[in-house]
Amino acid sequence: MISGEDIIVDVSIVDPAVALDAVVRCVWRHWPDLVTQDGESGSRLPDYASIPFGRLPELLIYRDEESLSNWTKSGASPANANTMVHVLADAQWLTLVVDDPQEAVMQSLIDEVRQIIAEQSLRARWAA
Amino acid sequence: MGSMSADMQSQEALLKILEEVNIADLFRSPQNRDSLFQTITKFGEEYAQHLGGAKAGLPSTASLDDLLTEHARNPYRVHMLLEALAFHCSPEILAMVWMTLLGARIEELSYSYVHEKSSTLEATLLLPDRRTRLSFQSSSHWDAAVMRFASLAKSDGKPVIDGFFPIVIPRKGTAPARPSKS
Repeated sequence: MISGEDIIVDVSIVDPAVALDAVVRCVWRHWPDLVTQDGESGSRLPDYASIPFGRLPELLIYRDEESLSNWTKSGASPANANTMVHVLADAQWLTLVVDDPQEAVMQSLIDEVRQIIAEQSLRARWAA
Repeated sequence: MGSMSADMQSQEALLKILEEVNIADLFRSPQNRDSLFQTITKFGEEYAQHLGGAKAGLPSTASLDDLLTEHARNPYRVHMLLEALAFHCSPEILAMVWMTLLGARIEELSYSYVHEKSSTLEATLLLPDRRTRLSFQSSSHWDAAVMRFASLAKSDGKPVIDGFFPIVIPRKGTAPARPSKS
């Protein structure tokens, strides 16, 4: 079985919904066929335009339909490594749970999310 | 009468949203309110006209009621649009911004300026179906304000403008405002 590693980003000054939205947009660039699931209910989410980021504390982002199917069948098996990202956001922290943060796509993704959250934090500070 | 009342309710709801981003006072006068609602109507027309029935992974309309529905789901998206409107962005560029907020990718974005001669913004979007491309062009100087909302990043060292995000505008004379965490 694979185990996830938590990547934690401070979002104390950023709207968590904006942070979640930014993560999905980042992942979408790398995984154009991504599929999203509500992390709490497990229900599949609609297309990006209709995802209620403002009401979701966590989501699961799969690389594609096949990855969702494989995770549903075999869970955290080694074959499913780096095909899903678990994202949680609250008032303080954004947490990305990834299998291997050194894997190329995951590394890019983590780097981009950090950049975007840093930019959002700056905007919020300037506005304040 | 019933329809008129529903329209007025929607307009009132929009005015309340303006308060959330502290720009309600910009639209307090009757003329500015009229202008606001006219711009929202024209924005919806530009959105539909550019989409031309393509849909391509985006909602087919962008009416005032659509904005209110989106506000219940993702308030920051509507905040961003209204902030751009407050900066006098044109209905066409607002339509471009809205498509981006709903998942279109900015493929190209350029701005050129010649002192006292021209100010031109051009954008090409790739819609969520990842096949349909739409182009937008404006020579309205105020549309340059949209660059204030652009979210910049680098992906594997390459430049990315990931989309547009709102500027949080604090309330006048109050403690620094923070986005709602609820």
